[in-house]
Amino acid sequence: MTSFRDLLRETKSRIREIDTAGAETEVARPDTVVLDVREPDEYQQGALPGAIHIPRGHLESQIEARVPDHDAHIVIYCAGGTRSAFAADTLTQLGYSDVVSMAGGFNRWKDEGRSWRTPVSLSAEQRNRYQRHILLPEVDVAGQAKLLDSKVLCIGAGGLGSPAALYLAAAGVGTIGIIDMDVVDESNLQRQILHNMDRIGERKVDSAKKTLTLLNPDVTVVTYDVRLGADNIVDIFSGYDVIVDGTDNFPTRYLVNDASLKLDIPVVHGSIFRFEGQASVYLPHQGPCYRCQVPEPPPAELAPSCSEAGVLGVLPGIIGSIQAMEAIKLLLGLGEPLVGRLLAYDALEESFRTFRVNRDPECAACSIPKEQLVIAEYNELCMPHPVGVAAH
Amino acid sequence: MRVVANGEPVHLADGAALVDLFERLGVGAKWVVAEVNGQAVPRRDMAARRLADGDVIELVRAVAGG
Repeated sequence: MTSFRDLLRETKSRIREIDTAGAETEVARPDTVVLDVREPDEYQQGALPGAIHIPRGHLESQIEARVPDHDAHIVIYCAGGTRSAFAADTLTQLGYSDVVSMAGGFNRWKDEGRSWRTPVSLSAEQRNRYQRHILLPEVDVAGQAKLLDSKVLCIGAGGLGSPAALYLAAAGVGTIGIIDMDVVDESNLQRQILHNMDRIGERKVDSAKKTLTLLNPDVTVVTYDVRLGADNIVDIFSGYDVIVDGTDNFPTRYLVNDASLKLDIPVVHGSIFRFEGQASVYLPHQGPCYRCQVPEPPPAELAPSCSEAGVLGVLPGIIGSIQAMEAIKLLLGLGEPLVGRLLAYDALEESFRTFRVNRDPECAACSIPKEQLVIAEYNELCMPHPVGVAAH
Repeated sequence: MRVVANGEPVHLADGAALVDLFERLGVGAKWVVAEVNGQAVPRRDMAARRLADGDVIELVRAVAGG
């Protein structure tokens, strides 16, 4: 009969082991996957920086989702080097070609004074609430903790702001700011799903706060019951990670653009009209800005508002949801955000088209240094404009 | 010549530019994003960009509602 000692010796003869010093060199390489196979309570007390955590009992079932590349260089560790040896053997059987086990494990690593961290942790309630996020390796506990620590400002609690704020709150974005100076009207309820019959006549920001807090008590909702203007925009925007622009007029969009350039905050743009909607992401000074795309607003006769021309109520639901998606992608550094691309949706055709938008080297706002950009409004035209100290 | 704008055929005078198409469609060059044969048209070339028979143009005008 094979004893534990025999089994361990045979296993170790089949795998490759490295010492902690060698592991430290390998862990420092960006393409190394560091895999912690200990139990959750051991992991929570301290782990190697950047380690992914799969308890050995779940290794076979989860490894392929978490590490799809079978040729990835994987350094496995446990507390002392025994479980990691068995885990390395298992991964080799599963076809992973470049797996090593760290002899001595986390205990020796820590005793030798090498760097480690306490992993971010979520409460048991949060682990349950965000379970479907945590299952995504691209989000995981670290991504969820990042969302909970993020701040997103929604401009407008109307058609676009409603779905955007609802999904951001549901996703666990920790701080959501809402700017709106309107009150809830019955005619809003055809599309503004933050509000309801009980809220008619109430400040929209207060109604939004009630809805979002009921949905997710993890979220702190900060309300601004003010008109956004050149005098207050910088103060309000400061400290936010992402701006979700769901305003309903051109002048405010230019104001939002200029302030975001000044403060280096990305803007997730959404706009709608009748059966058409658009979304884009303006990453200050890296991609085009709103003025590169629309250097000046159309004259009023060519730009009727939704209140004059109507809008199908589902349309902002689609565009506002895309805005929430793009905001979360920016916060987590996921995928390809809509930078330099304008996504145009046509509800009647049921089609999406993507237009490439380039930076305008002569753009009045983003081609000048942000220090020189002055945020101003034309009073008579209700049209903000950048005042650059003439560079030429 | 005949071009295709957002899937619809449009007849224009030979030698017409993008701006002539915009005029025909009643949209202003400054609030339109356009691609000709899949290539983005830079803002400064928007008005003067010459079109050729068979060109496929996709365009979208800015909207601001929320």
